[in-house]
Amino acid sequence: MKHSSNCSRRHFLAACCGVAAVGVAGPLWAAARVAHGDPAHPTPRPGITAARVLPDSELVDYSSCQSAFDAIREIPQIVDGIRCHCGCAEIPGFYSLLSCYEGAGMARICEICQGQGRLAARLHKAGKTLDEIRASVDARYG
Amino acid sequence: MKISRCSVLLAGLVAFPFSADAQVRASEVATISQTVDGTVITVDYSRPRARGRTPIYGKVVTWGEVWTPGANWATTLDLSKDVTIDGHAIPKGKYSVWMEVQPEEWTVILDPKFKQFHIPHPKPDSSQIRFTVTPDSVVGPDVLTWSFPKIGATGATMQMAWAGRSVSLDVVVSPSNPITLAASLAPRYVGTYEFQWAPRPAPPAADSAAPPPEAEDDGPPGPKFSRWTVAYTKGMLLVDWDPPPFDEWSHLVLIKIGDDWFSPGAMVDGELFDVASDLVIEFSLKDGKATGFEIRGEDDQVIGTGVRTK
Repeated sequence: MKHSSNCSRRHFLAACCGVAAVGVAGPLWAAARVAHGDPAHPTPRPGITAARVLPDSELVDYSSCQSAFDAIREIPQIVDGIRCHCGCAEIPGFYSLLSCYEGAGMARICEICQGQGRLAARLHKAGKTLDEIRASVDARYG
Repeated sequence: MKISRCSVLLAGLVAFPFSADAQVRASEVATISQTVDGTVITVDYSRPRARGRTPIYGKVVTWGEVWTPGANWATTLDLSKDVTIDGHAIPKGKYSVWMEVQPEEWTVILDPKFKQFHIPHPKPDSSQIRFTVTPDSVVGPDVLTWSFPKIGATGATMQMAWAGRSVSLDVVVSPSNPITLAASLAPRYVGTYEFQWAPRPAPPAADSAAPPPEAEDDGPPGPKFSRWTVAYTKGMLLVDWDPPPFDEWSHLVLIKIGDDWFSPGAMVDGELFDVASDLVIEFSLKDGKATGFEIRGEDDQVIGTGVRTK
């Protein structure tokens, strides 16, 4: 796809990042983005695992986000200590960024959920602590 | 404004609850809200109509009267964060708005007691914020109108206009991120970089039964490579992008959001025009000097990379 020099930045980014998938979770995402409340990060639940993270079979139509789900499965104890900044933390039943990758799987269509997960994973790989990762997530998405 | 029989009647009526959706009002209720860099400025007011009454000022609104630029309940101004208005510091909060009207200069009065009827007028109080303004002569409007005719990166013009007079107030907000950078930090980033867009991923298939679309590899607007010249000017880290992907991205200011992390801000005519807070520019350093950078999108995927050439 060729872009003219008059192409707007937002059109370009939308095309670049593949912001097209707005499925069943779309209205949920839209509602969730309305308000941010208490910015405190949750405490990781003892013994938390990635057992409830959506399996690949649930991601067939969302291939662009698969790498984010793969990353999350490696560090459930880290992302369970991060508050999601897309607004979904306001939804009953959501505990942490890990919740975005479970159940309705908001992270399948939400680039903020995906971005926070990927960022947490690469910072963890770089040896950053949970507090340092939280600070970076807040700086980037808060 | 003179106290009319109608005003007295209305004062009585407002004491009783009524359904808002079935009321025809001589001065209909309106709200206008403007966000500037995260600060929300909201004006709630009722809109009187001139209805052929002339002149309004000096007759309907008498000289020396402390008048709410609206009708019925006093016009309110709600500020979500601290601002300055015409250079006067205004703490965040909700205020009733009043104007003491004179032939030449008017006095704007912001009263923290925001729930007030338009009569009786508020008495001077140390909690009130007062400053003088000079109204402009305008044509109309027949219906009193609050608006925000000018918006900038750091503030807006908030205007009240009615019946041949307007008052323009210069509102300046607190920046969410300063666009200046400490001089001690700048040298590590200053230099020339060769920039290249990253290959774009294939868009998601609309129908899972359909064959997956091919990845697009012809890149974003313009040539594959472009040059970033990063300079430190007037306390800002400025980028000259040649050729830019969009006209408004010819000149960027890098706004620090973390250690070696920046948001790009488009500069137009030397002023900040738009901050792309959905993007982050992450510099990589070696021996205290940037060797390159990555631009990442909201999903944290790399959109483009720069490598230092000079």
